[in-house]
Amino acid sequence: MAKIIEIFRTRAARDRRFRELVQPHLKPMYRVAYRWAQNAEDAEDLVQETLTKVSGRIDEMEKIETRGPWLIKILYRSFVDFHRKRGRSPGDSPSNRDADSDLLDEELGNAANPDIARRLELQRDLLKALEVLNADQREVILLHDAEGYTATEVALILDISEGTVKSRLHRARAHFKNFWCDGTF
Amino acid sequence: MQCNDARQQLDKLARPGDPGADDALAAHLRECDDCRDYAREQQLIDLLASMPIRPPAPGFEERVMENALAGKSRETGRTPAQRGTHVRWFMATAASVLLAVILTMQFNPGEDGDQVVSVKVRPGVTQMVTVRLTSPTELANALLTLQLDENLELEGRAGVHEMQWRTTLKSGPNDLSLPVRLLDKNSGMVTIALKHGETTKRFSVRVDAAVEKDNSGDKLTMA
Repeated sequence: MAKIIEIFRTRAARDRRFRELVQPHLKPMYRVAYRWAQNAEDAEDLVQETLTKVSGRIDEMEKIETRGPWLIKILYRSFVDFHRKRGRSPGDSPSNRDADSDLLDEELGNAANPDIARRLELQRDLLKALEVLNADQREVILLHDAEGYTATEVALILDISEGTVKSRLHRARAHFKNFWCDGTF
Repeated sequence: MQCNDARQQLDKLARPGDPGADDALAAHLRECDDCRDYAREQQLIDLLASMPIRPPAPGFEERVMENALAGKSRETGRTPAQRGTHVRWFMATAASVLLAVILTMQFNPGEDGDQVVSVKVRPGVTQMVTVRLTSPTELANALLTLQLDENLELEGRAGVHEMQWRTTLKSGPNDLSLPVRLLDKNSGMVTIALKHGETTKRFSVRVDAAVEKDNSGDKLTMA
């Protein structure tokens, strides 16, 4: 038994286990990081920072059932540190969604299909509506509606109560009622 | 059409309101405020979820995994222009800890030789050691190498005793803040080598264990 444990504890085995645990979550982590950071390089930095932080916590990770949200929670803390250093709160910048907007403009320029173009235009308008939301509501709606995390998971990630998540989500969605123009349906 | 039927149909549609919704549903949505709100909410979710994102650079997954396992600094692999913010970012990782020392030194490209300063920290407690490099001119693409004794570690990079990255020093003061933790009561050494062109400047910070709590924050200046 001791030998088996010894083998398991070798560096190679731990590295392999780390990869197995983390690999399925890399794409979602990048997506969320990009939504927050609005920059591919900063998003990669945030993911790497998060992985570096958890690379020594394999045993703890093994026991966590909701590993994805747990990793996003650590990612969020890294993001908050990032913005604290810059002297502002996450999402406070009014031009926070510039990268999304630029990307949509690029895709609109390449869209040959009118349905796709209409959809991209709606998303561009939606971005403007997102900018008007306060940072708390925006964080919740991006995690819940854009990335598909449940209210329970969002509460874990942002370290707030589930009731607060639902309240912010409700207010954010109410804001978007004004977004839809007549004739959407 | 009843509301239940409308919502079941909406749930089945990937994109409510797109062609594919039948006339009965469309008519119901025109008449029913609640179902119209529901349909719009579903469309909002769909638009948000499908919002495009710029993909990461090629090799992203392998790169972040390798770097994390090696405990490498995030500065690795970045271009000089990007590293300015990257170093500041690195500094942010332990922004809450005590400023332990400010070392000011003149970096002259023609000069070579070791300089040693010392700082006292509490063992087992992460404290910020800020090294100030004052350069008379901009030093583009300088190679910075950091080595730590076995009894020292940087917060977030446990077990990593050497890291290296390229950076650009601007003319004037350049601060590099290191969240240092002394693991025992023995002294440890942080060695920093800055190479620019053919010139390498080395200096070391000896980290001693403080016997008593020191809240003042040591400030040490070398010119």
